[in-house]
Amino acid sequence: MDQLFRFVTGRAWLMLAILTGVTGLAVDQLVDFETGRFLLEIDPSENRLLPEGDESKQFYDFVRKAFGNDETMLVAVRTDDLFTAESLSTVERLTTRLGLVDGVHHVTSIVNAIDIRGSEFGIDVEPFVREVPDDPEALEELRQRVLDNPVFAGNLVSNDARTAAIIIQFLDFSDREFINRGTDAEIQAIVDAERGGAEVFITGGPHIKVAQVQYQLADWKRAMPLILLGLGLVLAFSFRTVRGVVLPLLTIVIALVWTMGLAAWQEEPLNLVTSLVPPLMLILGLSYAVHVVSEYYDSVRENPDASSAEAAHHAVMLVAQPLILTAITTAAGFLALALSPIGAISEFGVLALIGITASTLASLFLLPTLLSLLPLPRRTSQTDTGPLARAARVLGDFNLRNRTLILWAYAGLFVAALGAASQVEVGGNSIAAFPADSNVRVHFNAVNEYLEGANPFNIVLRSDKENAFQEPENLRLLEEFQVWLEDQPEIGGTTSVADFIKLINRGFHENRPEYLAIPETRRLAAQLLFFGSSEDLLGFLDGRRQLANIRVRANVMDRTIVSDLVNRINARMQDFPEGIVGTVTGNPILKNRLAETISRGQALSMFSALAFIYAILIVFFLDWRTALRALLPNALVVVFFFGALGASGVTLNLATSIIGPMALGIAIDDTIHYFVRFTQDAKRYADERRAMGSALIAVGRPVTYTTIAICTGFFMLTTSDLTPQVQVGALGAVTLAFAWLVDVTLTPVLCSGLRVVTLWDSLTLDLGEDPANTIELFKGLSKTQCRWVALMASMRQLPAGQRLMQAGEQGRELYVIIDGTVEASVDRPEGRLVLRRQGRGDTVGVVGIFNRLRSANVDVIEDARVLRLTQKNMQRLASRYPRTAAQVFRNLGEHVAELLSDTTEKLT
Amino acid sequence: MRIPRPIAPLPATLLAFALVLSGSWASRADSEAPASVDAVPAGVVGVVGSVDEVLDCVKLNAPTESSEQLVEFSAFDRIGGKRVSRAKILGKRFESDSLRRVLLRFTKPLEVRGSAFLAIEQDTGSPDMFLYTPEIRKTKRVTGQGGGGKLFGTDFSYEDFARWQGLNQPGASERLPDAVEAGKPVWVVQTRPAAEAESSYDRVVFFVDRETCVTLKTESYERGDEPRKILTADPGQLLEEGGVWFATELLMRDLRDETHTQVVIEDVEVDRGLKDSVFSLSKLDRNRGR
Repeated sequence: MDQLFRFVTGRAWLMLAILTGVTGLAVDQLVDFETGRFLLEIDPSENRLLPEGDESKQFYDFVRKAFGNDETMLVAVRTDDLFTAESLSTVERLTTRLGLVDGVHHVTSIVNAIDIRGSEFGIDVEPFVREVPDDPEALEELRQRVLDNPVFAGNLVSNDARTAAIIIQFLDFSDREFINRGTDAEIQAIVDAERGGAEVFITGGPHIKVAQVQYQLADWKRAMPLILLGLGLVLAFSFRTVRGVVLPLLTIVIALVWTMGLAAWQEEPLNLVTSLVPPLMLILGLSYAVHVVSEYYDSVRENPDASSAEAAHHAVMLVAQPLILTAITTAAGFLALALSPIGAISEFGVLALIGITASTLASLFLLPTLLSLLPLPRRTSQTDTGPLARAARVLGDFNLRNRTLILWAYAGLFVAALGAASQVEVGGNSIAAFPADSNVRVHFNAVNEYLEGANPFNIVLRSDKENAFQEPENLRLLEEFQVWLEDQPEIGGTTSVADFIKLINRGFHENRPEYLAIPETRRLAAQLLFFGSSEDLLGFLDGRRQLANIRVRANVMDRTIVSDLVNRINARMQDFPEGIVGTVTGNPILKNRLAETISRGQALSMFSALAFIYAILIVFFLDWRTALRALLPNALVVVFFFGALGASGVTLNLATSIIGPMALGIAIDDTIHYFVRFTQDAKRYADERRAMGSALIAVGRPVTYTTIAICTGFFMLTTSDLTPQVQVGALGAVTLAFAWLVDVTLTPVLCSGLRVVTLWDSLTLDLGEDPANTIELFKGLSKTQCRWVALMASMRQLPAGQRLMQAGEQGRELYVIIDGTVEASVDRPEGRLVLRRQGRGDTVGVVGIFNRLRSANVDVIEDARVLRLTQKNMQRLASRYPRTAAQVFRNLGEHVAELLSDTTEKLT
Repeated sequence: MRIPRPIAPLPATLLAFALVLSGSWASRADSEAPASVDAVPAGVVGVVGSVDEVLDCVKLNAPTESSEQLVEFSAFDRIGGKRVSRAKILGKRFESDSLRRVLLRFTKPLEVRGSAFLAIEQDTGSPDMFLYTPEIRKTKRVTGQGGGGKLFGTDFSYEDFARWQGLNQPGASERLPDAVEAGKPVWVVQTRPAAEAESSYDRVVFFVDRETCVTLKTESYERGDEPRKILTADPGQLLEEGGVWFATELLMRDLRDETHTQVVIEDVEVDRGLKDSVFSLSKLDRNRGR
């Protein structure tokens, strides 16, 4: 690693060229330089959010294939009276022009909907409006005909005859293609040009999705600079230098470019969840860059004579390992999301993992490169440690005095949060994501009101018999079921093959009203369908007539209300005769299903995140109990998040479901920082209570600054127009602020009485130069093996004058002198006899390991650092690293032999 | 290279294509002798230059007076569901007005047995159409342009059916560059229906086999460059009967609705002599073929 970073800082121009090249490639993937178009697309499709194998999704896909694309756009024309020449002309113009738009399958409105009319001369199969009439009688006759038609009244014309619906059906292409074609804008332009004096409202799934993308892009344009500004302010306050602000910001922006460039290269569009990655990467990446810059300033301050490259090298060497470790823990949170059954969340997890990797690489390579190239700063950052340090000291004292109180307080909070968490509702309402005064929401609500429902779904009835739905009894079943459906307050209207066949029947019977009924015989029904069949019927009846589709227009969007409605429908369908099964499907139902999957996926993600992080902590602390103590405060953070979710009434939705695992991954970093520092200080002072406070003072400042930076970033997301982004911003900031509070109060309390050896210790363990050749017990061992032995033991600092061993005492351990000097002596009647002086590398008190009495006193002459190795340690070493242990025992044997020889020599 | 656009006013044009395609019968503007394969392609192939010559080629490959055939329609929905209907199709050109009539009598499915459909060609505009349904026991005239849907549950609209059966569809034609279709060299003719036809199509393109004068493919465009429907004839299933070439297996695909209909023609008889009365409205309720 040393050589690597020496290369980075020593050949900074070359590194800069390489990294510029990489960035250039990423930019090339992101932007089409010829057109200036941004190549990374957003796919707002909700269908693909569900797992491919999901039964509901498969059935929905089947229904969509059988009965056509249900993703329609609806243009509602509102006038004082629709049945005037002017109003109808507006509808006619719009219908004609919208039908010519590329990608439009067909357009249906009152002017081109087919009316089957019978007379004594025959059957007239014509559109309602062949030519727009202008005499009042003809208009009145048209009004009566339309409002008398059960298929179109309420669907194409509102029951108050003031609003006309123009339904646009599209070819079956993806949402992404719909956006790329610019179809929505074209439709909007036509509506603007042809609306005349009428009020026109546009809504429908495709339109809402386009709006989502537009809002998302607008959001990026506004939120990203705001986040950078907020982070910049925190940096300015923290470092108070230009480079302290510019370099970290530049680093996170370039890391983001790398991440997005990779996504664009994979031709993976962003979805509704991964579109959160760019702002999050800016927020999360900053702490890595801050650590490097902070360490750089420390290096410059400590070694004013060092060059820029040397200072950068020193800084990156110091931060590399902890930075990688914290990146791994953060990544663990995202890795848990990558395992989600929901494609969009899984993609978010993967992209965020890539982002974390990019941020780490940028902080470790780009930032030191830039620091090396810049001249040494004239002033190092002035950090205002005074108030913070004082506050940390006060807090440390408070923690010490109130350990029990703190534990009880958090226990209470845990119970309260758990209670609030039980109120969490799973949900999502795509229209509620937009501002209340936005066009997309206003138009949706207007259509919902004027046409009694703008949220369509399907109920598909299946029979096991061919031609079942040309049987009058089954057609009557449909008819009765529709009557029941339309009695439900959430339903504005329904359409099925029963409506069509009634109209055909009436048409074939001279338009006599009594024939607006289900045919009496099977043969008549079959013959009417045979000759009266139209393209429209494809959307309601399959070729074998075993599947009948009822299109339902709901006037509600809220998941809970829709869910309640679906439950009622399902209960009603239990009354169907044997052989006929009904299934509710469509976009609202998929959204409900998605919510259920989010709920299940959230549990999986949280459990996975906790498991991953616990595993990392075990590896890190080399002890499962310590790992559990470190995990506990962070688990509390997760419970707090769900409590906040429940208390605030925000639903667990696609966006908010990422917060829990992500917060856990971020929060654990601070806990690790504290634990590491606490352990070091506990060893240094041999006093856990003191270490509790000193560790808080030491890590309080960086932890607080990075928390402020991250919370500021999250807070900036609350400026979004999209509700989910606001929710992520607010809940993310609150949760991470709480995590900070836990880390400065509960974590220290939990740490008290703890002595831990961490992986960090093993990596930073100072055994001095060339331990294998300078420490006799380590002879023949590699550097790693030396560390294994040291980790099994414990390091002690011994001040001069301290007695290490007392002759005659029961020995239980031996000591290896890492540095310093000790002296072995025995007390004789004639006085103290010094046996020998020992220094680095020597082994002292070997007999102790064999439970023998000490034969001599050992005193510390110069401050010493010794490795204490007990019999238990040796057994542990033998079981874990038998080969290493064998070499250590061999060395011990040689040492004892030498000692024996030496003593014998002295005695003779 | 695009051939200049000679406009052919055409009552007969589309008719001729459709006749050959369906293996049905055709009008003959004059009283020429029945076209023989030997006579038509030998004299035409390779020397056709104008659109009229292509149309003549097609026109001559047609029954002189009448035809009968059994047709089975297998309509497939979007999910592969199949619905079969079977009918006897009778066609005759009336000497009195030189206009044609086409009668379908359905034998399958059982529920529609006895149903009949009669199309009567008009001098101008679209043909008159009549339905007879046994359950209502009345003959009904169908008017209006709304029949652009799925006639008999197949992928043929009233207009497609009329074109397939060679009934008058006014429009203007032009030659497009020759091509190869299903491995066979073809002449390509494009027709734009006239306004009075009230067609749902903007244009229809025919690919005529240069060897047999059978139309191997018909593309119907509503707008733009993507056809809405394509009717193809299997060139390996061409049949010669009474000196006329027939396509006996066809496939109508609705590209927009993603449905298709297979058409299989059997028992073709040409110029056996059908009485005019068979095609009278008053006899639609009679379940007879002759």
